[in-house]
Amino acid sequence: MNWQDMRERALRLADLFRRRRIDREMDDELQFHLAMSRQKYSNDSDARARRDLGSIEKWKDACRDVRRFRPVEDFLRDLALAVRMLRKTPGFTAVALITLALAIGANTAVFSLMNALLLRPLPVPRADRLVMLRIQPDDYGYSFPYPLFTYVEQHGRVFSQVFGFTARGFQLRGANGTERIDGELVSGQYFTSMRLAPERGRYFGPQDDHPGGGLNGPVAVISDRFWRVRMGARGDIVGRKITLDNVVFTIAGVAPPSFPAAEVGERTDIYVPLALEPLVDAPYNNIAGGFHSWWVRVGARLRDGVTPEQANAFLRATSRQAVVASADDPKMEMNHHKVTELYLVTEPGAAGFSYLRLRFRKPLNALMVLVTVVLLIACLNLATLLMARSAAREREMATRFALGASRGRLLRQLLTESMLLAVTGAMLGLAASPALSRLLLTFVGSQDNPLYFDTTPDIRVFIFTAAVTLLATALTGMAPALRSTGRSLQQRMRESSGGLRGVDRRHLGPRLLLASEVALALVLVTGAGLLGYSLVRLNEVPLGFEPRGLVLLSLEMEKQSRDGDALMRVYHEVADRLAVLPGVKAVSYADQLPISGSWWTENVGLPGQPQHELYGHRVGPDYFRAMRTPLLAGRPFRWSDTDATGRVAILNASASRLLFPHQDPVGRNISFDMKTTTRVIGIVGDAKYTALRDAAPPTVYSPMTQDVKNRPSFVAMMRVDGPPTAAITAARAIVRRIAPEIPVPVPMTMEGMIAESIGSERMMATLALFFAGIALLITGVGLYGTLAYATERRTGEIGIRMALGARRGDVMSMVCRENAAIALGGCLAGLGVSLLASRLIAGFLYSTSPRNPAVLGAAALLLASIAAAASLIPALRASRIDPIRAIRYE
Amino acid sequence: MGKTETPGELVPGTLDMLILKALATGPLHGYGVAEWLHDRSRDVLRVEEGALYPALHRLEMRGLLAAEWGASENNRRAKFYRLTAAGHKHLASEAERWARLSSAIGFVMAGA
Repeated sequence: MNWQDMRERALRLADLFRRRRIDREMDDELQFHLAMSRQKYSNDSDARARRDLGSIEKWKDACRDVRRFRPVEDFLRDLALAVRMLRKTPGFTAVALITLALAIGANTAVFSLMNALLLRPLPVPRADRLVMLRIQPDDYGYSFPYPLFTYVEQHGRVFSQVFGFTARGFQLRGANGTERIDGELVSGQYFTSMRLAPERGRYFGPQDDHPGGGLNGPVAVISDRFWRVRMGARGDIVGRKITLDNVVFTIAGVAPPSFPAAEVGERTDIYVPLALEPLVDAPYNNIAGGFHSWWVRVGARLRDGVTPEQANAFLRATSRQAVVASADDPKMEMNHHKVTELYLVTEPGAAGFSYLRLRFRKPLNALMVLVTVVLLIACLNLATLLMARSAAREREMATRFALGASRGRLLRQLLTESMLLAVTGAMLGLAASPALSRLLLTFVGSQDNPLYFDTTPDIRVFIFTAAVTLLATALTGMAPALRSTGRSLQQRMRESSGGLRGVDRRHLGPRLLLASEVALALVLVTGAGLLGYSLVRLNEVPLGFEPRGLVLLSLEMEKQSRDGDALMRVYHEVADRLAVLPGVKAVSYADQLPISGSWWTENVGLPGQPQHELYGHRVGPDYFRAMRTPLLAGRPFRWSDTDATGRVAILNASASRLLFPHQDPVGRNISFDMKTTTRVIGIVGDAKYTALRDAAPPTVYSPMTQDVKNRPSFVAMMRVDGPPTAAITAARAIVRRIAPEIPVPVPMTMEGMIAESIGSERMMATLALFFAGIALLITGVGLYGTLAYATERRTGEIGIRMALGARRGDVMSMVCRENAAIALGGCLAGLGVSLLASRLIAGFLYSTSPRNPAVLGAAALLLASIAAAASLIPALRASRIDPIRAIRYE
Repeated sequence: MGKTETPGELVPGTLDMLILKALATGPLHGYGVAEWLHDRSRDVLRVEEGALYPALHRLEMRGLLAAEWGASENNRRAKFYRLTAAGHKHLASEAERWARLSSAIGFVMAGA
């Protein structure tokens, strides 16, 4: 297209908006012409002038044609007509819009979540140049030992900056006691690589990232939110001191509000130099841990002109050298690999790093498939409804054909209608999607661990929604439009004039569409049923303890001053006070909570014999009573079990069978790491420890009162009868009084923690059930709507049948057969697809076969009943037709 | 309508070129263009108004003509057209094409 054509099109488009003025100008121009010519030919002009006057409208038409932008004008006319048609059938329009809005809204909401988690780039300049470093082989993942990080930081020539970071909670000491805040340890080049100017003060750099701090001592950068909410947005914030984990930091600056947390979905309020880890982690020291401590996540910004492939090649070539140079013992093995076999690769880091991504990528992808199926069902449904409706417009179509409209023109008009539906539906859906996204987020996150995702729609979400809308238009509009414009004029005239009107449902097309709708809905219902069943199985799985009524308070003792026996006296006193609170039945402690996702193992064996790897658990006296884990033999731990009275341990049944297959272990000795001599004092029932899905592991319990060092933290657990609120308030007050130095504990419940551990399963099942419900609703509406419509059109025929002696029952079964055939076909197809797709869902299921006959049968039954319910009203209505009136009406 | 001898019909496809030529000397309103063609062709060519104005509008839309409202010789409001730079260029190339074409036709007809 050359520029003249383009100019012409642009002008025509512009003219659309000033049509009236252009018309007036044309009029003026032609009137002027006529006046001039009348003047000149005034003598013989009468006939001529009349001719001129007669043709003036023709000229104007010709001129208008020149200026007209026909496609747009046609489109506007189609649009007006479509609006009129849709307003004439408000019931149909409402159903169509709600269906589409639900489907498109659900799609947009799930996509927004995927976008936030997987796609949205960090809000920093040139985020596409950021990479995350990963250790290969795969099972190493993203955690680096400190020496390897510093080696890459110094020798990574392909990067302009290399940064290490790790998320961490800090204890902030303030006027009202100690609080927990979320923060990060980040290395010196972290802020430079983000390329965002500080809001106030300065960032810290490599000069501050030294053990013990740089020239200014320990410095920290705080978030904008922390500055505003906690520090009252005071202007003299830079240079002020705060105490974190007993270390005094000088605030160097404030990061801008847009500054991203290194982990997507988390929130960071404070940044501390990575090299200060030994200060805040004291008495532990991950940096001194060297190659035995894998804890730093590493990212980098690619040097200008370096491609990710070149960076990978560089890393591949230098990894061995890096490991050899930084490992204290190059011969050591980790996860069955020699460390010298490790190598580094880059992964795109534009969207930041998130462990959530690893956890939710699969469920989110599955969810996306789910909502796509819902959209497909909605489209099929609309297509059948449109088809049924187009039957009513036979006469209109025939007339327009007869008046010379082309098929293309009519097609365009019908598609305009479905587009109008889709676009309006999409706008409603888009409006609803933020609320839906938030709802999804509450499913994904939990009260104890909220997520901070930015799910506000961005350009990607809009493009996605537009694409979905386009697809919906094509899917819903094309088939009905092609069908209703597809027959010849003669066919039409014959059909609409004669009594033999085609009953639309008798055609194969709509039946096929409805049957596929039923099939898809069945697949969804089956999937949701399986996920729900699996969730029920997970919830019902015997734990070996009773989670209901257990309240947990985490006491963080690392940073306070007491240790050893003095610390144990604190724990003992807290336990005694908690035990006498009203409603509290038992109190104890544990170092790890079962099903919390963290655990540790111990090497245990009989003295002088090979060791077994058992799961280790340090617990307080009364633990088994508080947990309601049965004590099978021996006695429980007591406060009097101290180092002085000799080391003791309790085994669970599995550990007992493993270590003492043929003996009673109570009173016998075992050995930890072939060093200790520990007497077994009791046997308890097996209890789940690592995850709900895993069997209860062989576990050895040690008393918290023995081998006390490094100010251990324990979780206090209270078994409470009835509502726990009063006990929790009292417990927090007790802890604040007895241990004023520690952060006031945040109460949790065991049930809540277990629920969180199966958060992604619950999310999947809940959403699948939700979407299956929507699919059922849509399918039901489709089956009812089309059948009701078709039956109404058969009123005359049914009247004749009844006049000829058909009974009401016959009529009803005749109408019901319509849907029965469709439901049967759809269910069979759906069952087939479900069986074929069973492998896809198997990975999400817990002790549930993807071909579980009960679930499959129930799903089929459900759809059959929906079909039956959808047939009932049309069938009843048909059976009440009065033959005389029906025939007369015809 | 039957056969028309006078006024003469236009050779098809030449109207745009003739309009451009009429405006080459200066701005004219539509009526002026018709008169100019009529006079210049010694009363042979007469443009139908129903063809003239759509052609003017088309040329304006394509950017070969520009239009503005002004006062006519008898002081009435009239729409004046003038050639744009693109219009001049287009006229030159059309004139050359026409010269080649008409001389070729002349040769052929003379040869017969």
